[in-house]
Amino acid sequence: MFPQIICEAHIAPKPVGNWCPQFSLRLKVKVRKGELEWRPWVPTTYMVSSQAFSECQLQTVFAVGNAQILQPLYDFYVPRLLIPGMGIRGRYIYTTNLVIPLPDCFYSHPMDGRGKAIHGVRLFQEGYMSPYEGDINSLDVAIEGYLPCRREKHPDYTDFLEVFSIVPKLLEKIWRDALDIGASKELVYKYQGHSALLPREEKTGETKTSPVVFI
Amino acid sequence: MFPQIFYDVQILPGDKRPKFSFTLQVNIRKGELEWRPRVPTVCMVGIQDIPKDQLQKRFAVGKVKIFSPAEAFFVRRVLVIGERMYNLLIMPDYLVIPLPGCIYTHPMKKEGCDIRAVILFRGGYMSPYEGDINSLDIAIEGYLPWRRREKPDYTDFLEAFSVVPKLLEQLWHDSLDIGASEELVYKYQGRPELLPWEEKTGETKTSPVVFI
Repeated sequence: MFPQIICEAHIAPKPVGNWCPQFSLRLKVKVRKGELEWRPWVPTTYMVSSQAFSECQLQTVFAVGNAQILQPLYDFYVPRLLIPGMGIRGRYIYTTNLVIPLPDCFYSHPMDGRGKAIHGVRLFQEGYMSPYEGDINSLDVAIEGYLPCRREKHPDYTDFLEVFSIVPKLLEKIWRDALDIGASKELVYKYQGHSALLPREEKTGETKTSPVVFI
Repeated sequence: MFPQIFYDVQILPGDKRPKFSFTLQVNIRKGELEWRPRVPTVCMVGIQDIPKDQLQKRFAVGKVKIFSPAEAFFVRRVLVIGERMYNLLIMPDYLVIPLPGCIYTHPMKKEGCDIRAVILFRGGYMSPYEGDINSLDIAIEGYLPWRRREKPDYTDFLEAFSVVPKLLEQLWHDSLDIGASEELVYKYQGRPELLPWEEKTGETKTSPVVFI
């Protein structure tokens, strides 16, 4: 059984002029007993501004809706990533990580020209998700910031909203894909017998001395 | 709402270099320029120091054309208001108001020195908010070049000086074109079903998604 995902993204209206609209992204998952019993592996996942990498650095691994989920061909460094709980840090993005491309950077200040550009955010830290101790059994992601000021008559931020809306679908896909790691059948081997005191030359096969059952 | 601009230019009569004075005052109060217009660095440069092949016309304010250099060019003895004189590069993102000639620091010929350009204000966002430019206070006094004519005419300088408040107004107006955006909301609350992946083609099957 899958756990419930609660995801909310909000982009506040941008006023006229050189202002950046505020956004918030919230994701909550609580894995209860009986859910994700198959312990899906969730890779470290980042949302990264497409300005922070070139196309040749990443390849598409799969699509979620219209969005491409990328993976680096080789490790690369991204400065100024928001790492929840740690602040803004530079980080290497490894070939095992997933990257959701963002249309642009985030900003730390509502006034255009102030604050600093943030090239992305780490959404999940890798691990197995399950209700069992030691595994990830809850996700609580809360990000707030500002989107770039778009100097247009009718600035449109639906591209950012579309990217935010990928997050729950990506989780679903990762959980579901892990169901492909199938169950195996029970196998039993039983042995019950006496070794007879025979000359070594005559004890050529175990079938001669013991019952073997494959189920 | 736009702030009030106090602007005054005077060119006094004289038989040598006529004295001029130029003052500009803007004080932005709460509720004014709430859209934070971006104002580039604005300078007045004597035409003799402008490499004409490098100038690109940006727009006209009245009869006066406002330029931006295609490439940075160097000008000696540039007065920066509130600072002092420098030898400076006029950068491609500056707005250049061409002045009909140099201005001088002394009324007598061969005295004082010539000022070849004036940086009126440095670029920035104008608004009443902290960290933005919330006031301009420019005052220049000097002397215009001596024109050896019976009735020397300095209206060309007056025209160039009178561009400044109109240019500010235009820059403030232009920034109003940076429009407002709508509020956008995405909400998802759902639990994926245990269906084969192929059957789950649309998110509406599993969760309510609201785009407002």
